[in-house]
Amino acid sequence: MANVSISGLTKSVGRARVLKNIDLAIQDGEFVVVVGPSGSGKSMLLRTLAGLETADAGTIAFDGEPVNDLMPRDRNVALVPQAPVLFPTLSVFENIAFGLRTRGLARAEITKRVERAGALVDLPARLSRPVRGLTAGECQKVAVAQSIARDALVHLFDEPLSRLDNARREPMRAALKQLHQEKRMTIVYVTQNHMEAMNLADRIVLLRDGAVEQQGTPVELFERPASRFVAGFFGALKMNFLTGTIARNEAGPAVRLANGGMSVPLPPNRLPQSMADGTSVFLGLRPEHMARAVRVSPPDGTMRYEAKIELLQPTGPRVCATFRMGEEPVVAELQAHDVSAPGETVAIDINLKRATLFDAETEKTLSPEGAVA
Amino acid sequence: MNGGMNWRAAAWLGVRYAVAIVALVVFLFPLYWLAVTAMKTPEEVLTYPPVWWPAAPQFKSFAILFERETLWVIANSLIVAVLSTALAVSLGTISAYALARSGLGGRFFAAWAVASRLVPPVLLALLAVLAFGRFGWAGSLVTLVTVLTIFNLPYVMWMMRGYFRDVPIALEETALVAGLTRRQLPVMVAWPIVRGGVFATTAFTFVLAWNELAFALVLAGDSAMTLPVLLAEIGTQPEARGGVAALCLVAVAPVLVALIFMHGRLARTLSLGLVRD
Repeated sequence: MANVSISGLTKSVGRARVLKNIDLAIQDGEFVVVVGPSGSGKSMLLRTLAGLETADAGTIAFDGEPVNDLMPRDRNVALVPQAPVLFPTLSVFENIAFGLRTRGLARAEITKRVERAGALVDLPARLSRPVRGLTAGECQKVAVAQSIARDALVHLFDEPLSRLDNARREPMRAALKQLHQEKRMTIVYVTQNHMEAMNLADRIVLLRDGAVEQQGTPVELFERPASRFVAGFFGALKMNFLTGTIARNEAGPAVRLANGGMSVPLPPNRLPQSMADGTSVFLGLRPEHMARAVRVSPPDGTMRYEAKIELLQPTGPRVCATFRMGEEPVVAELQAHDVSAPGETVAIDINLKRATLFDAETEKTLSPEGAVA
Repeated sequence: MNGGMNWRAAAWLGVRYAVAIVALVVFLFPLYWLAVTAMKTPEEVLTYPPVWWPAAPQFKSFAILFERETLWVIANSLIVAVLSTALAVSLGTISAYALARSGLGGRFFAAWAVASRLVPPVLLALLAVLAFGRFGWAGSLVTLVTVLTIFNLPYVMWMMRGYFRDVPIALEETALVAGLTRRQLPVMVAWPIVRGGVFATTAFTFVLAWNELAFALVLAGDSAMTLPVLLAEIGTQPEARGGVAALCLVAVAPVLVALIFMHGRLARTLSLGLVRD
């Protein structure tokens, strides 16, 4: 296990710049999840760390030792590739044992580790069987077992659960996190799934077009997104983005919505002092930050809104209710019993203290002192 | 209903057996004909309508097999076929790995490999005589082995390139990360997968080399005569038909062995489904 420091990492494939000047410091024993849409450079980052790709510029160091010029075997990393391929002539056991045999471990130790790894990925009776006929999901499990059986400095996982069906994904995810809690391996884990990222990560790195858009704890990325892109990426429910302009009036700062001219008051000190009236912004409201009004008057920093419900999408204990603010559709997450049928009018308290403002031009978050959140 | 299905299945099985038996008879007939011809008297060989089974089977024709000269010819054939096959397969397999992994040869490699077979072999053989004659090398086993190796090399490279291309690069990457060096990849990763293909290619190359006539005829001369050349020479003499048939049986034997061997391997190679998405 090792800490990993990446600085100025740049990689082009043909004319496309796949990684752009990436700086990343990963602590020993940290579980880092790299997320981003497809084509954002996640896999390339892992392959470059593994030594399967050569960086054009920048350095990668494990425990302070540069590894740029080392072959994969000398970097001592484990990698679960995006589309794992197994040795077709070997059994499941031998596939998992492959990386242990090449490193000359004792036979008894190999057996112990393979069996433990096989049990962890829930491939109990399959070990002695040939790999022919395994499903894509089972191949992926074998690849994960291949990786966790090893004592690598860094464990790299490229969407290791993507081929499992939903019922199998949850327990595997839990098993991986449990394993990390026990062993404290250094893990770099790539996924497209924001929930998986939130579930697993000590720290999330969000990539966009080959550059780091934001990194931080799951809570930081959820609560204090640096840009509209980050805010839109995380959250079980999509954040509502309302287009508008800054308009200060006697009651304080507000956002005047572009469609319908409605005015949404902002809590004090929410805006940078220098921000001029008329600046175009997006107002970001999370569905989770709205609730049916229960008190007589709305709490501080909350706007009460009489919403005419147009669409209801139940999720079990809760319901997603669509209504309009001005002309724009907005989704709120309410309790299932808060509203019974579309067409009803419900008083909804919108917590504006937790709203996020984005500059319409740069799409960066606007925080009170103009600093990046 | 159920009985009807069984009747149908039985009928189908009967049809399949009937077709198989007819095919077997058709394909085994030449072997049978060689065997009876070798056992006939010279008169029986030449009579018309043909004699299906000799009145008194005799084995005099097989005496030619044990003549000193014939044994030399068989030995020559074996040496040429075995050595040129071993050379072509080992060199071709190594180059094919490089071709498959480097992308050298490009899309037209197959066409190039086949092109060497489009020219009449005699033409190539004559060119080889000119080239080797200059060094005084014509008319020896070494020359024949060399030329046959060169002639069969493109075929081996073409076949093996295909087998190597079926070994996923992702598998080699997995092996690299698991701790192998690049040099270990061909032996540790590719070999177990292409092994069946190598055996099949070896068997086929051996058959090609064993039966090769044009180069042997033009290049080898009397000192390095091979079986196909001997057959071509005495095959035109009607009174020698019995002996020719006996020789042919010997000539067919290794081919049959190679094909039977190849059949098992080839089937296995084709059914070796690689695990991938």
